[in-house]
Formats: sequence, C-alpha cells, structure tokens
Amino acid sequence: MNPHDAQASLDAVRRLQDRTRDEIVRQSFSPPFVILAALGLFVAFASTDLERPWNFVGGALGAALYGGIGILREHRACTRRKFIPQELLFHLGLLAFFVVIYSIGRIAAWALLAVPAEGLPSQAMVGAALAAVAYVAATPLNRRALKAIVRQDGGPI
Amino acid sequence: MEPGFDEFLHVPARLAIVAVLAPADWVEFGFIRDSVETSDSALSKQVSALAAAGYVAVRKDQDKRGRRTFVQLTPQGRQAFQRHAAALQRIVALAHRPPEQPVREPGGGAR
Repeated sequence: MNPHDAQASLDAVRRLQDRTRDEIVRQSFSPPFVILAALGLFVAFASTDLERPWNFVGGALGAALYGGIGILREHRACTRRKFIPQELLFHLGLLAFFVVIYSIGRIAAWALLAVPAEGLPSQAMVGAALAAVAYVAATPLNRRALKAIVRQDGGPI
Repeated sequence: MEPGFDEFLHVPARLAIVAVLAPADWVEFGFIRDSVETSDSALSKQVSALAAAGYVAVRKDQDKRGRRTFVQLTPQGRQAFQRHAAALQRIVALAHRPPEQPVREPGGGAR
C-alpha cells in the first residue's frame, strides 16, 4: 500500500462519514418537523394560563406533539443513531432556553403591551408565540450545534 | 504490512459501506446504495460478505411504506474499521516524516 492510495482511501472515508453525518442533521431539522415541534411548544406554553383542567390538557397535548414529532422523525429516518448524553444535554438546554424566551415574552406582553393574564390574547400566548418563532429562527444555529455533537461521536476519523 | 491493516476491509466497496455506517447506529439500505453509488445487487453482495465476516448486522423492518432493510456496524466491525483507519493514517504519516539524518563520526565522514 503506497501513501498516496492510503490518503485517497482516508479522503473517501471522511467524505462518506460526512455524508451520513449531514443526513443525520438534515433529518433532525427538516422543515415540516421543525414547524410541528414549534407548534407543540406553542400549545404547551400557551395553555399555561387556561383554567383547570384545560391547562393540563393543553400542556400534555403540546408536550405529546413535541415529543411525538421527535419519535416519528426517528422512526422515519434512514440513518438512526443511539441517543448520546451530549445530545440529551443539548435538547434539555434548548428547552430551558425556550422557557426563558417564553418568560421574557410573557413579561414583555404585560409590561409593554398591557396584555391581560387571561383571555385572548393572554400573556402566555404572546410568550408562547415568541418561543415558537425563536425555535424556528434558531434552526440554523441548532443544526450547527448538532453537527458538532454528531462529529464528536462515531467514526474513527 | 502495517499492523491493523485489514485486507478484507480495504476492498473499496466494503470500506465505503463501513464508512457510511460508522457515524450512525442503523442505516437504511437505500441510503447506503445512494451514498456509495452502487446497484442494489452489488451492495447486497458486499453487505452479505461483511455480514458473513461478522462486521455488519442486517435487520428488516415492516412499516406502512413497505419493507425497509437496515444495516448496522457490529462492535467487531467498528473495531476493525478503527484499526484499519489508524493503519492508513500511519502509512500516510510515515511518508510525510523527514528522512533520518546520517550519523556523523567524530573524524568526519558519515556512517
């Protein structure tokens, strides 16, 4: 085996590994799934101001939509991966970030727009809309972060 | 031959399949075929050879969209791939190493 052939083989291996990694990231943030996950986030957050038991029902529906989309996406994917701790942390961090965005939206709705706590639109609805829009808008950044995680895991080179 | 170099795995079609599988857990047959740019029958032949060597596992799923075949790198296959990639990297590194300087004797000429 000469060094030139070895280098050519390594280049081919890198290119093919990158193709799989790109597919994993592409599937994770395909537009229909991003929009449905954002809708789930909106429903879960917006229902917090509803009366009992509708706040629980709305919260459960939104969480089910958000989680269900993730499961459906994995099921349909042509490249499947084991869930790694860094990815779990990434998703939890992402959720925490959108809770912060929701809270900021809520406070802004009350302080700047004098939106009431109940009714239509409610403070929760404004916060939820802001969080859902932020979720969609942050997709390119999230895609880049997931790509870095995927690159760390799997494949020798 | 470089230690870890796997003649069986170094066949370009096999190395390509294993490279596609490495970053994932299970990969669909169609995605592998498109990535390595081969035909169903050629891929099937290579996957069978890799499975016979214990390097990959094959699973068939049935869902609404029909039958889907998934391929996975086994721990043995992953180890072989890592060793092989390391061997290739060593071959490249050796070629880039500067040649050793001749040792000079106190009296002058090189040994």
